Amino acid sequence: MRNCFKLAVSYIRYYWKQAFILFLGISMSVLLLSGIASLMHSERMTDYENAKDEYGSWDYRVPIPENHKEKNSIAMAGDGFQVKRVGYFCSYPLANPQKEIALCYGDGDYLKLTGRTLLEGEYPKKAGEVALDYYALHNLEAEYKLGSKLELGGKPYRLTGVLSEGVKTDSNAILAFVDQATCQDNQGKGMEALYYISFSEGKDRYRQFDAFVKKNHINHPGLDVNDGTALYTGAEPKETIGQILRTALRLPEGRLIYLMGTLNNNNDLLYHVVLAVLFIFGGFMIFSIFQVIVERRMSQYGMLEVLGAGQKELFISLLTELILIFLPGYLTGSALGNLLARLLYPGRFRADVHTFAFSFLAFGLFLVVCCVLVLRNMKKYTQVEKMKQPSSRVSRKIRSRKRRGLTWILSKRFLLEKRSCFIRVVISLSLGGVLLVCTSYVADNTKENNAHAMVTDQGLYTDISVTIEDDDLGKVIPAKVAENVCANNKKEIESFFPISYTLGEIPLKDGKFQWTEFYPEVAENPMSDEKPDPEIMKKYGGIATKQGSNDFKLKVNVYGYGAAGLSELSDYVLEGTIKPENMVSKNQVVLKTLMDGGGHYDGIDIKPGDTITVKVPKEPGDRDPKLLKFQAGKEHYVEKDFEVAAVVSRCVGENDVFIGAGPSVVSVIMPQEMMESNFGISDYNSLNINAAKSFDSSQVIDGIRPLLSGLRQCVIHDYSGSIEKKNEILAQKASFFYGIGIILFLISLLHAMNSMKHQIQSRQYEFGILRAMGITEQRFRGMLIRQGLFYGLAASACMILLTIICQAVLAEILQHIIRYIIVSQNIPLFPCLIMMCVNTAVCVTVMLVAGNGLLRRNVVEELKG
Amino acid sequence: MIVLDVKQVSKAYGEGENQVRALKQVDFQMEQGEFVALLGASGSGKSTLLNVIGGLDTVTEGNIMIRGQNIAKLRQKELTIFRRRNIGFIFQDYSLMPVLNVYDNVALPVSLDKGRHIDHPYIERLLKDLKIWDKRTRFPKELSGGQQQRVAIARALANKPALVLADEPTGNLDSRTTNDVIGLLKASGKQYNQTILMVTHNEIIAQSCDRIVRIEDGVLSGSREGGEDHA
Repeated sequence: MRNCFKLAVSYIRYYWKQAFILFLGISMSVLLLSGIASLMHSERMTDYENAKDEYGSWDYRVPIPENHKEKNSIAMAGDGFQVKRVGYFCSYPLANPQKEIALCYGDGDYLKLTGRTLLEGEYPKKAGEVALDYYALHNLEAEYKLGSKLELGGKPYRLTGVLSEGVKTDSNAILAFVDQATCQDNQGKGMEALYYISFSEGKDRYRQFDAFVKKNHINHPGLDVNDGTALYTGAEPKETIGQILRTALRLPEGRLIYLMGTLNNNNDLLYHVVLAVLFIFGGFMIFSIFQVIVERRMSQYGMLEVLGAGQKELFISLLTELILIFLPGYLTGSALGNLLARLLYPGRFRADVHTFAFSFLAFGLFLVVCCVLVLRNMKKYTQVEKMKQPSSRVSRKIRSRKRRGLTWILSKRFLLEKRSCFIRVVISLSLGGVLLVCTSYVADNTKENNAHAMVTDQGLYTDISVTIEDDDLGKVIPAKVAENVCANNKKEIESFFPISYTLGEIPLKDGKFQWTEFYPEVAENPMSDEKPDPEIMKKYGGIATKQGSNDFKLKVNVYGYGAAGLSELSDYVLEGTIKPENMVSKNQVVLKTLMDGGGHYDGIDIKPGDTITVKVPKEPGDRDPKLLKFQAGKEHYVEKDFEVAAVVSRCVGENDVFIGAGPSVVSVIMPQEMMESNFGISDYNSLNINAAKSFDSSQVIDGIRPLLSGLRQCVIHDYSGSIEKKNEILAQKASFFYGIGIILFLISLLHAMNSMKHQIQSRQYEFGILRAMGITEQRFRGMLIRQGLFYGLAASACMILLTIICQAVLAEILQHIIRYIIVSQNIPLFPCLIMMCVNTAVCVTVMLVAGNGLLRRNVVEELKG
Repeated sequence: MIVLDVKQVSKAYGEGENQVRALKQVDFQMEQGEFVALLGASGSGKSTLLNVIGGLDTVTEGNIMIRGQNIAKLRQKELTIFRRRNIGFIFQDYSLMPVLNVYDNVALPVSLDKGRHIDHPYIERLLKDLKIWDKRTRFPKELSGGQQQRVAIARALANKPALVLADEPTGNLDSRTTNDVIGLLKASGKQYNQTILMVTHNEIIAQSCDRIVRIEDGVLSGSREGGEDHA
């Protein structure tokens, strides 16, 4: 054992260059694995932090039970739970005809859990004091000055504090924070009191909450889960893998997509797959480099065997050598990987300690496997040598009869004689290229998707949005006001997109609605226990209604866009074309179709050229409860036929106040003129504004606020900060992907260079013969260039083949599992071409450098080996 | 006609105190068609002399004229081309290309010369004369040592060189095969009127040559021609 250790140390010291290459290979593989694991972990944590910023850091919200008079009476810890924070919040709505306003009180914990901080002044302590955020200040048209007076619900208040805007809430009301007594005075007059609860991290929140409610005797009805953060906190029970499998098997189609999508959501499938792929990649590289090193010393191991060393001694010697190189390599790689990840995530970096520990064990085991495989190969090699039989696959044809030069044949045979080595080099070179091209493909798609998701799914269409947040179709922004907003702020406004809106209904007859199980209100065999939204059912009678066995009617959002808005939809076209200039004359509309959980868009069988009938209320201000259920008399509606110009996957500036917005709601979009000519709607539901570069969004808001006074439920949202933050995150993500690609490429390059150099050096005897026979240096270099080109071309061909396969798989994953809005189906040609050139240049250079090393040696030395 | 004229050739390795003089003021000549044995013990400098004559190594001092061309004055590229066209090598370990069959191994030196056509009838004759024609599609690993050395002889003659240099060509062979190979080498030399310089440490093998040149510690100590020693 001691001798084996000494032998291993001697090998490392004597062949320090080889040991260093292996050290580099290990360090870079570990760098990649630990770096990406930490980046993904940080990314996930950043998403979690962003979700907390957006939705708050509370996990559950429960109405306060009658028996809980004091927050202090709550048991904060118990068997299976540990409460981190409980926030108290109470509110009651003010009777205000203009805007929905609520007076409320939240304690310090509530403010923390909902992301509110006091920016200026003091929190109200006594009656008549109020604290507002910027959103409330904008929309209550209050003066931005502490001590200023304002009236709420007919009572005077003094502004004592300015709060930061809190997280997203499901209430449209403008919140005015008052002292606790003022709020609680309204108990029994519509006051609602809630506990916002957050549990300690680490343990599953759902189990903690279960233990918490049992201990505190809190009833579940009225319970709200923070949906925005539930994915990260486990606040909702997750299906087990068995349950997911059972559900997938019950599906008539799309089982794999469901399975992968659900596993990804519940069990971080993608994260684990990426780490597994990186481990395999790193393992392949380490094994290959190690094998090349051992091959170079094959004769010495043979000598050791002759001297009496058995397989056990060789195994221990090899393993010791590997471990001695692995330990510093692993530590260096981990440190560098985390350092690089930290540079990419300067603010919210989190080292992935679990992966660090797990990969150490996994790599440790892998080293043992490496040694076993290398020893097995060594044994095989010796047997082959003993047999001294050339490969039966080598042609016996006399080539010199047909060819004048034999160097072509020599090049080919030198390359292909050791097929495993050739294949290793080609695969590692192409893998590096494939990974780089694929990461660039993913990066480009992610960049594109995130930019589109920002303006569509996340509603960050423009810097500023002025919207009517009321489910009364009669409340609008008059066209005249919109004109004034634009005309009076010409300098401050860069672009202006007004959108008109109405709720509509379209019939889908004879099986045109294909996803009959999509909406729970009409599903006959629902796949999940999802229930129809009670509010949608109450107000609109459900989004979908069944008319006959194969006939349905769908509630749709109907939008009127300007030409600029219509042009933007071109990015989301699934079928057809959008030509805003032709739409009015041809009476055409754009249909935004449904998307399911697998990223499919084939739920409605309507194609460009088909005609759809859109029915909308004649009198938007009509308060008949049957009106928006489309159950009132015919005379209450206008029905028009339109030709579908295009089907799109998303639209911008959506209205989520009525039947909701996003991929599970159908929309019909038409030019503003058509809204007016067909339905008589000339006023707007929202104004979307981008501030000019030299102006701050708050300056624009100051300019437009006076023009909007008196408009009921008209609120102003300033998204400029969110857009800036999102863009920053996008840039981070892009650099993350490119960084990964470059590191992957470097590792494979290191391996390929090492293997090619070894291949050339192992041929020094043959090259010596050739030189003795009189090959000129120029011709010798030509031969090497040819070999380099052959490697480069083979690697490029392999890369293109693998890229085609990987791109197709990635496109499926991006489209159906991660559900990107737009997924490019094209192979990234430019990166492919660059990688082909780089691969070929690298191969030729490595060959020439290694060949020059041989040329510097004396022919006699080469012949002696 | 003098084919090889070695004039005052010295070869030293290393520098200063570590310098080793492998050849010291060596002078000798060879006539067309002559078969000369360069006889010496291990480390006497015989292989070094052969390598500098073949242009595989450079001289420290002196000139080597082959067919009137001083190879010590040639540039690297010129020397390579000269070697290809004028010198044939036979090595102790045969130095055959393992990835080429017998025929292609023999044709290899000619094929390296872009300006020349491979004389296939000549190669066929060589292989037949050396009794390896039936082995022409075999690979070196499939041949015995004696057969491999015959291939090496054929390859050395394929270019019809001015001079064939054989470095212990029978060093790896048993005595019976040694006799066969020497016999073939001698016969080929006669048949194709080749000038052959063979390095050996075996006195008996050397006896079969036209002339024996002895070398000791890098100095030619004498030569014997027709059984006579010349100082």
